[in-house]
Amino acid sequence: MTEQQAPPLLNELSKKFKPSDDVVQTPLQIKGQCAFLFYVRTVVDGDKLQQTVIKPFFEMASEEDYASYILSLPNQIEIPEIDKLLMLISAGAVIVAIDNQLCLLELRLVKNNEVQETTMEPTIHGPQKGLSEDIGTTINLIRQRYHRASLKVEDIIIDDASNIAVSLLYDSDRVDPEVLKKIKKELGNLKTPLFQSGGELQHFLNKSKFTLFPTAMVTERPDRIVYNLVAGKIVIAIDGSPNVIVVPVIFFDFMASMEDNYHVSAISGFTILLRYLGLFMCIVLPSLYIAMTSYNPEILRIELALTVAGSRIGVPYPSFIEVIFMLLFMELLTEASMRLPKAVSGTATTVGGLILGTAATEAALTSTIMVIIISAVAISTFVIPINEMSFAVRVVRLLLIIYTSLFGMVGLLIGFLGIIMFMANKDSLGTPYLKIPWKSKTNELEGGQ
Amino acid sequence: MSRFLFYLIIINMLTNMVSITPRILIAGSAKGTILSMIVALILGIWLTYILVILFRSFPGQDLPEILHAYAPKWMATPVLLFLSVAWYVAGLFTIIIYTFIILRFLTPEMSIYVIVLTFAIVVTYGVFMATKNILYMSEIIFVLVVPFIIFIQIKGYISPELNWDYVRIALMEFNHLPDYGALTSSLFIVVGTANLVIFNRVFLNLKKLTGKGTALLAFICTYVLATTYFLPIGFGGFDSLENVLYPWIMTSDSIRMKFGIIERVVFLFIGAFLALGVVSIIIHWHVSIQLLSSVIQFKRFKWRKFNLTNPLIMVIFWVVAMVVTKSITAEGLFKAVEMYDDFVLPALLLLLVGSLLVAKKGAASKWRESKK
Repeated sequence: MTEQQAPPLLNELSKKFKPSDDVVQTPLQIKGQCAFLFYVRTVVDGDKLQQTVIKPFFEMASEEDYASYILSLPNQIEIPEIDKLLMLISAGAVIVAIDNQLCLLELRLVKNNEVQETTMEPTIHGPQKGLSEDIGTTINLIRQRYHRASLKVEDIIIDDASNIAVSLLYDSDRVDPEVLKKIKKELGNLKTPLFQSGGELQHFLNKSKFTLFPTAMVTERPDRIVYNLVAGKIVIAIDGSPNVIVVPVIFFDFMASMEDNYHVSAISGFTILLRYLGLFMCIVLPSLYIAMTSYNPEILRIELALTVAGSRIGVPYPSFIEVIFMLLFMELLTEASMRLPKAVSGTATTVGGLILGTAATEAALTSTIMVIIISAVAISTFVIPINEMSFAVRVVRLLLIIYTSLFGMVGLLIGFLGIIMFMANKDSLGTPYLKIPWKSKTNELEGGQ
Repeated sequence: MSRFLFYLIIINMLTNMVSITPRILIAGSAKGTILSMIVALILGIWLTYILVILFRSFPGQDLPEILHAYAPKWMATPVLLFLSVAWYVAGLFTIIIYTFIILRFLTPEMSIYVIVLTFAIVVTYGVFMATKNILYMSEIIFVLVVPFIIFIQIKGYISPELNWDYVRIALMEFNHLPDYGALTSSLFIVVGTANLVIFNRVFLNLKKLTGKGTALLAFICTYVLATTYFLPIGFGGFDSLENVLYPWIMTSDSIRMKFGIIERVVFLFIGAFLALGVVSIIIHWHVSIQLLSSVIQFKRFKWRKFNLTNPLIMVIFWVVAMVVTKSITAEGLFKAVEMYDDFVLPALLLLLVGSLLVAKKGAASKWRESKK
């Protein structure tokens, strides 16, 4: 019995992968039977390979039996053209060559498939587990919550350096075909050398160079995903990212927490009200302080105006510098406590709190009322349930402060209208961004929550 | 009836509450304002009805498109130009009035240029918004602002300072023949529907005025007109209001919230109406700029791919606004608004209805020709 030659494709492939040390091309031989394996050792599940591919080879009576066994395995895939094949092998596929017949088996070894805790959008009553970094597990989590044949999963190949797996999920009965077409076109036109996470893709989907408000939502909650799928939205999952992207979204989506659905109506109504109040406060309060102290103190009732003026005694600069100064420190503190390791961030906040709280007022660098306002602003910023929106609000607040410093009380009012206009003029893949979704009017679920 | 049409009408109506209109109405209080208001109401609702019916036959088309398609060219261009200027002036009046109010009641030391500039940035952005988005925006601002306005008015009606005897005296003057000036200015309050000249673009399925819609519209119009006229008289007296520049500001300044953080209602009032005023300016100038650019369009005037005609028009709008606001006096403004209401408004409405009728005829004959 002569030594059998490996099929030419395998040689070609191994040439492509050279000189990588974890590429394995090995023959299996027993009594005249022969097969070849080709895989990348570090991405293939060794146990599974042993159990389902190698062991049966030595137990089968003939090459034909083995071939039909391999072909009937559930993880067998069609052999695509060479580029895709290279991609699949580097992602964990195994080529089995039996008697010049080639089979491709998917035996990926995935180590990052554990389901993560929800960290960005925690709730008290809702599910506590989020998604996983592995796209297969993520899709599994979504499918296990949404048992409908109409839930479609489409793999999208993105033309970038890493060939990362991207999937579109949508309910074909509910999705708007126009939006689906648009999003596919956008993903096809994506001109980026490399992207690795949901947030990044969201950044590329926002077309214009200057964007203030997010038009795609990054979420980690399976319940939110299913809720949005039912509302006819499209979910984009990316391998390696524990978040998915939901498009198209409108402003009110960012203000909704999943918890709203889990409470009694009065309670959730109250929390929603609280949230909008917080949003309004954290945008307007600093500017209002400027307008009230530097431009129109007579608007306030006289006692309050005197209190405000009294607390500003000794502050050596105009109110807008005071506000910007304090706001800057508050933002620095927020940013620092986000970036620092957990052990140090406590110190940072304590020191910062001390500086902002007492020392600054005692040094007459700022008024006590300013400190109260800044803390109120900081707290109410955190009330916004989706992080991206609260980041956007931080920038909007600054713009409004500038406009108010320039134009006073009228500037505050008109600037606020300007923000509303800016949002009303925006759209997320054709869906108007800010529009009052009247419940009884046209289609209740589509486009808004 | 589409709710967005309602917003167009009501925003136009409310903005005029603070403007010169109450002063004109009060000036004619001994000469038949009441009857003219009643006539204007009927006329206004009838006009709304007619305009809706006329625009219904051209779904999704604005007036320039309609006229270019179905009317002779010699007619289309002057009509569009006239309407465009009329709309521009309507917006200009609003901006001047609000600038004066701000100057007088909020920031007396600020330069007029700075106040106009405050409007300029945001209004410019608003004017260049898509037509549909302007409607969404006005809905949001309407919903945000109207509670305040209702609050102020309830506060006004239950205020002990309101002297109903003055209102009764004013009511007694109904036995005069309608006064032309009062008639046209109250008509101006009611005809927000005319904004359809451009906004019809987004109304693909404009619903006819139903009985319920008409009743609601009539109720709101009556209420707003009556409040505009009677509440200042109730606060200020029947005879003594002659020399008051802004009767409504004075009225709202007579109301006090004893326990509020803001004690004087006038600031709430100015704030709420300023927001509506900005929306109204945006609506008017959006219409104006769209009408104008349908007539004048410099094809060569480009920067990269953008045609700069509209920005140029906008700059001219603002320069004119600045110059006029700086030079006009309060009395001059009053005269100008009076003239506008007396002559331009009726001409505008007649032209609008007339040109639509011509276009409808043109469309019918075109349809017949295509059938042959």
